[in-house]
Amino acid sequence: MADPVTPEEMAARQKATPFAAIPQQQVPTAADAKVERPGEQSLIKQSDILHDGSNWTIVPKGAVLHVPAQMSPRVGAKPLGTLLSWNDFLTANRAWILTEEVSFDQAAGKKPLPEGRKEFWTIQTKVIVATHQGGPISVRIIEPTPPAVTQK
Amino acid sequence: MKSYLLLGAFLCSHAHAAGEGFANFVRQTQQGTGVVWSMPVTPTGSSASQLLLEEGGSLFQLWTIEQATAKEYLLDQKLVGAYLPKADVVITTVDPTRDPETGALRTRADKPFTVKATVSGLLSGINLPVAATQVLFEQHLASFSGTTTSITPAQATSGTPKNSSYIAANGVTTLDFGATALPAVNGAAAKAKGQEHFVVHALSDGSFSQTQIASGYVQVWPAATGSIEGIANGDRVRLKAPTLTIIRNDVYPSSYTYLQVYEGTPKLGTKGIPLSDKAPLVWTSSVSKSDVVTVSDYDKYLPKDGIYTLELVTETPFDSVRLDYVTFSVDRTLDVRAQITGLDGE
Repeated sequence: MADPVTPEEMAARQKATPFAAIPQQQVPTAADAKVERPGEQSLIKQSDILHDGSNWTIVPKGAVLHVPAQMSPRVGAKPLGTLLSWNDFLTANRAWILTEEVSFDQAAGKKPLPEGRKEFWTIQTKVIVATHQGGPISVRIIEPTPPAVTQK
Repeated sequence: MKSYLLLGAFLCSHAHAAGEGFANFVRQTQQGTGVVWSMPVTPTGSSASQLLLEEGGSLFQLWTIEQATAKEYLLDQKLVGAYLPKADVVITTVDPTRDPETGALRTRADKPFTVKATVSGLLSGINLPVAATQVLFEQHLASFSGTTTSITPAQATSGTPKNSSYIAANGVTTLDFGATALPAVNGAAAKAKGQEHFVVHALSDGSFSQTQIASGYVQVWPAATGSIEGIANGDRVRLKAPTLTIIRNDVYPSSYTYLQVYEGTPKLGTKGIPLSDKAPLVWTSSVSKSDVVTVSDYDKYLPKDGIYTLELVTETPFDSVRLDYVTFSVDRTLDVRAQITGLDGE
């Protein structure tokens, strides 16, 4: 058993920071040694919102590939109701959401989506969301390069 | 190169913080292409990233959002890449228990703890970019103020660090702290409370949105104090022992605080008889506690005349501390002062 720690004992324990004992080599200049710390961030602001009137979820911006005109009120609205995970929201709203599974290279715009997909989406009455392994993913759409026209 | 990142440890460290009433989101952002993937996750467990860990690195972020209010918290993040240094931060305290709600490590302001940063993948040689040869190790302090007892890692680590140092060698760097470095409360260093965060950053050439490659934190709770009021040193108890007021301040989240009494003058370390039915406090919580209780009708613990010492003791995973004590005497013997006188007959 002990008596409470005294201010003098506390001062002795706090005397030196052990950081000072880490051996330093050539300390880099500030320009060479930038670090980026997490600042004010908002996941919701980095996302697109889907909602069904009572529940909502978020997907990365760029994951919503197509929104038919009649479904536009369900995309991008302010969050109201209860937030659900993507899987729970999708399960409850299969009637108006269709997923498009894409590869990483397709998401990055390194490979085009299969020919005719964009045309297929435009005739759908559902919202099309890009997914990879079941999770929503942002997609950089690349427009096919038109064939070079040569004049004879 | 295709590699998979197991996010088990990453998620488990905060699994408790994102339970019922919260929805979890793990976002992977490819630093080179900007592709953002929302990994399907459950409140607990682990998941493997299926995306390529491309040359430019991937930033993993664990978010939780309160489902009813849409209040969002960035719980943790980590930059990972095939050509980036790797790091791990492990903190060890004397307390083997953890915060029952968040799973966070905890310690007391006056107690030592150890931080180990393990770094690998650093290169040595000339004409190498500094990002390949060194990482930055930081200590961030975040005090609890008022009733605030929770700060997210993102909030705690976004500002200027209290201390920092470069690590230029692969291996383990061990830091032994004798006590917390958190600011004193009302001039008392042992009353500091809050969180200490330790972060390892990769050095950036400007191509990364975030550079944190490892992190860990410990909660710090103040040292308890207390007092026994209602009886003073040297008092004499004649009939009924007086009612006491027991003040307990900042009792540790995993502790047992009680009164004990023994015959004789004060002697530190004496095992007395606990007043087991007089407001003992078993406190297992995620925060410290302060309260005031009254104690009366404890005469059965003072069975005979003599000198007694009453102590207020708190037991924690660290030690037993005598918060206050008082020594008094019990003297219930009645002195009958009488005189028999006779009346002589006349």
